[in-house]
Amino acid sequence: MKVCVTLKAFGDKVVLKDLFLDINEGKTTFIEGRSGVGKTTLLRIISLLDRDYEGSIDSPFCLISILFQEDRLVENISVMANLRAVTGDRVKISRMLSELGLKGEEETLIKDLSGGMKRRVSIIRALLIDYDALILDEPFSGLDGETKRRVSEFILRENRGRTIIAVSHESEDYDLLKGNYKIVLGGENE
Amino acid sequence: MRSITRRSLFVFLSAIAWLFAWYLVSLLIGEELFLPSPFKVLRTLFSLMGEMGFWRSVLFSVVRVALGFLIALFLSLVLSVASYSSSGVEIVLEPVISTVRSTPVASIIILVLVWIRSKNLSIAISALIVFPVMYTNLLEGMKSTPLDIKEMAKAYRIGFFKRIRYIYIPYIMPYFVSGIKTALGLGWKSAIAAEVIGLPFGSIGENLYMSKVYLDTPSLFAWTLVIILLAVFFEKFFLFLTKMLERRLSR
Repeated sequence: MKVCVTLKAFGDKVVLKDLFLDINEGKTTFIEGRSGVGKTTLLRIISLLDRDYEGSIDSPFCLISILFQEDRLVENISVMANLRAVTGDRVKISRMLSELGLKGEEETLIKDLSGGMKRRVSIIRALLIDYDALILDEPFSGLDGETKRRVSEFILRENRGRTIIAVSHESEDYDLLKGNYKIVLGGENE
Repeated sequence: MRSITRRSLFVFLSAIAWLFAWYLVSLLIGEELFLPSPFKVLRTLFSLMGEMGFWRSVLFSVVRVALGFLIALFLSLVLSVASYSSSGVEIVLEPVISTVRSTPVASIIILVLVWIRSKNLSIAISALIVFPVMYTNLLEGMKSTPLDIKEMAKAYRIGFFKRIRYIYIPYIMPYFVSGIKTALGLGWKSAIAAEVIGLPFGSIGENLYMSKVYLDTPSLFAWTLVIILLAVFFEKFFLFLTKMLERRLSR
């Protein structure tokens, strides 16, 4: 995937300028950078949710799944209803919930879950749909150390070698997701 | 839960106190024509309930109000979806909704009486009063769906029917319930007022009017009690159906 953003601005504020990325298929590319550097904006461009920029994208991916920085769950319906919105496969949903320690929470309303539980539900939802590339925006926000490890293993297992593009401001997340490439927005790349 | 039960108990006791006050005032006046006692009203009601005509009148009005309500519900659903999808439709409908909302019910009743037979008057009035309330509430509910949730639905390629069920309905539901609470009471009272003006044969409104003409105040009170009870039943019944639907859709 070749990403070329010559200019992305919100009004007078330039967020991204002269950015060229080459993202390899089947690999995990990690985008790091301090808050406000434009990581989420870049992910929105890559996932084709934002087309209001100067530049171009040459993408081999037909289907993209994205885990948003916010959970974006419908609060007054159950965990199961939120997940059934993206797939009818109840068996798969139950298995995934069980693997992330959410067994028995199927009928719980989202508003009654803790922040960490909501994050896990939104991660499951992102992995439930068909995709060629998975985009993760701050995937482990609100999760403690042990849960982070469990969730990262789950993501890698379910992803089955497909392309991952992840964003985080924490460098330890790179190791958790077994990153292949690291891009530091506003810094040195590895 | 305990405080709710305590509150209900106090409300019940308060109602008893008001009934007692009514009884005392009726004793003080001592004239049934002006103010019959609660016991007299209850006796009249039970005697009315023993007549076939009573049930026929109740059925006549209930069926028509319910039909008007369902027509309004269907129309408001279709037109609010159309308005949500196209601002053009919303702009076209806006003057109509504002006009119906701000026109006095009595004017609407008399105007509608010019156009249709009094037999179907309560259907039309119930529909006309319920429609703007439900339309406005449903449209507000749709507009309350957050943009980031709509973007999520697009990103996850959620289909049309699933989008309605899992995305829009949960956000619309609180507005729908509040609309039903307002619209049902309004629609029911307006439909009865229309019957009192239009006097369709065998309606609750006609009975109410006849009680007034024959100065049968206990009967007037008894019919009023019937109207209140039916309004409460209507509201509770539709709210029960809505809750059932909500529970089913949220799982």
